[in-house]
Amino acid sequence: MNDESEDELMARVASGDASAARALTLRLAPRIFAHAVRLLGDRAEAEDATQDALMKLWRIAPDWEPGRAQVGTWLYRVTANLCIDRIRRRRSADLEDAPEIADEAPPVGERMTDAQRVAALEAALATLPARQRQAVVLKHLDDMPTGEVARIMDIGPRAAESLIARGRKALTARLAGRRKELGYEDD
Amino acid sequence: MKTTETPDDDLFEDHLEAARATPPEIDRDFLARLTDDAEREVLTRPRPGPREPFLQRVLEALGGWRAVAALGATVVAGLWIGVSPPATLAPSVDALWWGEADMAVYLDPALGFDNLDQEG
Repeated sequence: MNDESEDELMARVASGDASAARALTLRLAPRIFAHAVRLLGDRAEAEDATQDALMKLWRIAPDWEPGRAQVGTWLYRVTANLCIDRIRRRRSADLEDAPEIADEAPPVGERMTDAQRVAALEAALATLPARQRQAVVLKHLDDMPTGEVARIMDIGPRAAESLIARGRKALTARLAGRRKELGYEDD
Repeated sequence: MKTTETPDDDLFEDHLEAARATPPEIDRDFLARLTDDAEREVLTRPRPGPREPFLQRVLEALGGWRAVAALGATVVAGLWIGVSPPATLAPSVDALWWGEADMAVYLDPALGFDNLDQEG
């Protein structure tokens, strides 16, 4: 649809070109929305976070400094921060009000469908500390290299590796603990 | 591609693959609202005017040409007074401290005029 780089589009947005803002939205919104859903486990909240993050992007556009950050990196970081704020507010407000993450295990002896696997993974992700969850989602679900995970999280590569490894270990242990319940007993 | 070592890793990878294969899809109406918001936000933003030269911005910060001219005159006068102070100028703190001047002369107008008379 558009071969322009995100930086080029952002420069056009800065000069008041609305069509560039439209193109950037179409390119970036689906990705950051998916990221927000995976962090929050809730589509309505993810829509709010996506909308807020994009609004921040349009407002910073006139002062955008090319080369300081990639637009995508900036947007992922802002989106994740908005999501983590929501997760922390949710936890501090009332754990009981947290959205329920559907996690229906199949009848014993039946293998899970993909949808059930996704639900089980989301339920396990929801139990991780927010930063571990962010690191695992960026690395394993958004399929980003560790360096980009570190840039988005504003930490060093080693700290990112450590968060990813701890998150992965915790998730594996949680899923393994439910092996029978998840229909893997006959493996 | 699986890079796993244990059955538990395989289990984890199965779940990851399922999640990667079915990413959360954005709602089309929501995406349309986002693009409308984006266009409106950019179109209604106040446009920055052409950036003025540095000297012009400094002059404006100081209050314009008139203020700068007055400031320059004040600086010149201050330098002149510093280099060649009039005899009736208030004494320095140092002169007062060492008893070389009397502040009363400068605080009492009548005494001040007397002093001028003496200077002829």
